[in-house]
Amino acid sequence: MKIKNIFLVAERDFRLISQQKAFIVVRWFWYFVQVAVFGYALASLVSVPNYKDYYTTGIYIVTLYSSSITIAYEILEEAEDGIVDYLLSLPISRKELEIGRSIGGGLRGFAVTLPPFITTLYLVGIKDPIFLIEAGISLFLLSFGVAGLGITLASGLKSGDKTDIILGMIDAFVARLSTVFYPLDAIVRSNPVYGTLAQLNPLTYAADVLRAALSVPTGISLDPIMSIVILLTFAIGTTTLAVLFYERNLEGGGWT
Amino acid sequence: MRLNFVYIIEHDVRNFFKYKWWLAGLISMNIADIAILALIFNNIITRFQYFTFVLPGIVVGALFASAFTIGREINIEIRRGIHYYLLSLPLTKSEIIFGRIISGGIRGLVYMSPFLIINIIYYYYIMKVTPAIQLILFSLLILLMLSLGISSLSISMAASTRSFDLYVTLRGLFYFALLFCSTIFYPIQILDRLPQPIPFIATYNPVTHGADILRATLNGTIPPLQDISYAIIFSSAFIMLGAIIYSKTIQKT
Repeated sequence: MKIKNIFLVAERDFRLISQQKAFIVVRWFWYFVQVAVFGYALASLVSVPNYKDYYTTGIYIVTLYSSSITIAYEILEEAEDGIVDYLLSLPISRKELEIGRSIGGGLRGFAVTLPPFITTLYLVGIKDPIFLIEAGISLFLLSFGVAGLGITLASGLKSGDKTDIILGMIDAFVARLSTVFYPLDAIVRSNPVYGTLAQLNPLTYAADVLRAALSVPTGISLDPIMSIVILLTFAIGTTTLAVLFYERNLEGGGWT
Repeated sequence: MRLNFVYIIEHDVRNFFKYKWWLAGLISMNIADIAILALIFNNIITRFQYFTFVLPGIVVGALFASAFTIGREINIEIRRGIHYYLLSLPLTKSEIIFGRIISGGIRGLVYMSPFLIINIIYYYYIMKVTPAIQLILFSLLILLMLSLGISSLSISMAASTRSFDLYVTLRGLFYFALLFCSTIFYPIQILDRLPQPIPFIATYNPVTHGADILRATLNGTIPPLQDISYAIIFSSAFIMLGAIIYSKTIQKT
């Protein structure tokens, strides 16, 4: 496995930012409306201390998730346009191609959400810059893992319709069954099953590490180091799956 | 105008159910909003029963999202020149235009219906409120009007530009502004405390009035005349705007 090849693939994926202008503008607007309207309106209703900051950090995590998962749609578009076959014809191994795509997709997801991230830091305030490094690592791991998940789904299903349906369903539940909108104790109180699912959700850990770094109270606190370990496991797990599916499924056409 | 526009409506409504991926995503989102988001927020909002408040809001949100879909197809048709094919059919331009607007409106009402039934059942069994059938029918009429207005707004945006990127941006901006600056998720008194232009948008947003009309109906009370008037006035304005812009766009060569 050559690092140079991985870097080349990652760079190509990163450069795809220029093709996503409309998507990026809409995502930023979504983030700003969520923070300025939904978050501020609910802050005056809920009994969660410092809910504005709680929500602002949570909604950034959803923005990061939705930016990173877009790689699945790109792979589908590439299959439709015949670019997948072109990529396979390059003197780059399937592993290098997939790992490069995961890294590039993860970095791009993080890069396109930089303005919302800076806004989050500005609104919530940085108490200790050292903890930000910890949060940065966890955010990249989430982004990297979600990109791996997107690649796994797109290359595993090889169908635009099926991938759209699965991603639509994941999108609907992934944020709602995490601590993005509400603290873990409120989720557990509502339904213990939801609580268990929220504890299996990587968004929960990324959101709580970011909150811990910015000193936002979270209710039941999760150990930040443990959270990073879970996010690392998630990133490695989805990337391994992505490598397996990418290697096995990408060749021979059959995209629907 | 003959009844030829019925063919357009039938075509568009059938097409709506062909977007399985989109429907699956939207249904999942609405179910997740009811079964997860509303339930959990109900536990952390103590001032009033949030679940009861947000349930009718989610119905109107569903109507809004589904009526909005027609724009996407119209933008694709305009970019690919499919509207020339439509114009070559033995249909008048008015039949095409109003057929599209009406089909967008019907999509909203059809998609919303199962969620409305869930609401009626909830209000009947849990809240012990039985709204009069005349009141429900009247509200459905107003909601159809609202759905037509939303579908027309979506058509106006779709027909205003041939650039897909610009359309996606416009659609996203309007969609999120109208959805979140409305009383779907929170009462108007809360939005009034936020800085301008949020209260202004919320006050004149037809989605706000749709949600408030449905809430009043499900509570067994007659919806305020102000809400009904706003919903009718804004929907009529959007219908006219949509018809004019779509007409001008498809007659261009």
